[in-house]
Amino acid sequence: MHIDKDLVQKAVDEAFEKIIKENESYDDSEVIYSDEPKPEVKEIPEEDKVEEEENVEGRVEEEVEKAIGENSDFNFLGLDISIEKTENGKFNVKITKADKEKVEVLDVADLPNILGLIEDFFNELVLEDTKSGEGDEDEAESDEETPELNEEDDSDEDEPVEQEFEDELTEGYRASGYHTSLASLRRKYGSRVEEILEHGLLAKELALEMVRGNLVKGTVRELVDTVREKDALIAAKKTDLRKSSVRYLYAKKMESSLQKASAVLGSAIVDLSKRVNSRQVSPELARKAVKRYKSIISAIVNANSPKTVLAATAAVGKVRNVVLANVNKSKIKLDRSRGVNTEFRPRNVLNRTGKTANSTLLSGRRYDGIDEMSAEILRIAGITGNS
Amino acid sequence: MDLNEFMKKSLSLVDPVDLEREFSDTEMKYASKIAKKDMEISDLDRKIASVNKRTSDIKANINTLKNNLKLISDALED
Repeated sequence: MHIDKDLVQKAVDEAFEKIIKENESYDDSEVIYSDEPKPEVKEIPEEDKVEEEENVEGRVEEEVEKAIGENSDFNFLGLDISIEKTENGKFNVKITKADKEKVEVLDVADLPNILGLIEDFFNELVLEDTKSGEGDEDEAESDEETPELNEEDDSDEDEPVEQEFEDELTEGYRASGYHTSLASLRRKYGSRVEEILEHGLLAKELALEMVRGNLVKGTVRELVDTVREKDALIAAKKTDLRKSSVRYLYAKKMESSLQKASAVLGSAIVDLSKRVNSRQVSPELARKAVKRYKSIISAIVNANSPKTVLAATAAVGKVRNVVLANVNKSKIKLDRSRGVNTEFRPRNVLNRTGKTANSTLLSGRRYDGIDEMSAEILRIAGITGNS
Repeated sequence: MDLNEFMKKSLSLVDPVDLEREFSDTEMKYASKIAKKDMEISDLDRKIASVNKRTSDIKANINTLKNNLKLISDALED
């Protein structure tokens, strides 16, 4: 059988009539296929429309299958087309031109599918020409307009997984009998290309949103680990700061205790020295007091806690009180002796006019020694500098 | 076409720019968090050093006070 001009014209007219009706049902203003005034279209009930479409499609399929049954070899636009019906009800379509051959399996051997295959065949031919360097600018444009074929062509360079996916997808479309060329899609949805593009982008965003967690999982895990390390470091630093603060407070208290102890000890020793000079304290008691003070100083120097230092400081006050108590006792004794006993008692006359008037060799040494010791103690205790 | 195939097809549209944007958004969020923590660590280090220096000064003063007490004790020997 030979596909002649009349047969193709008939199929195309029916297809156009169907498309125009579909477009009119969306929006009358979107009819873009003809500049002629719109013909008056009689309102057709919805049920009748569906019935009519089914009738048209049914008639076309019937005609084509009948033609295939009569003769399975065709010639169209210089192509040899052979269609064979298989046992499982599918159709093997073989298109041949010169040394190029293309074989496809179709569920339904309707005209759009066969025309789509023919379009693909020509596109592949154009691509091969472009590859061999014989293509011109127009061919390049047609190349851009057939991304489906580009994908097939580029699939050699893609990773195996992507190629497998593309193959699966293509097989899926073909198995479901859905095989539509971009050209026919463009004809059908020409007025809504932008909406469809936006929808595609939304689908991409949706898919990205669904896999976002997995995409950044590795990065997030590393970052979370880093944050955890920093948190642990901060906790350790806070502990260090707390310990340092405690050490500082302890040292401050120790320093304060030692300053107080130094002042109290210095004052007590100077006081003792004065009383020794004024003979209010017996030398024996003074020696005991000094011994006790030295023991207290030793305890303070070896102390490791403010508590020990404060306890030792309190002991200084006790020694001082003992010395004062003895001073009072000797005064009372002296008063009593003065009031009751009036007889002459020997006394040291060397210092009666004051220690500076004592010109004997021994008294001079004693004076110098006491004075120097007092001055030294006052200086060490930090009292001399202020006076 | 089932939903999985639709997802696969949609994902094939995701390009490197989309991925870089996703990564940089995530990294930016965590980078600011980590920077704050670094600043906190630095502040803690500064405080610890300051406290330690003060403690060290006080300890030196404590040693001086103890030495003075030893001198007083030595002076009392005489």
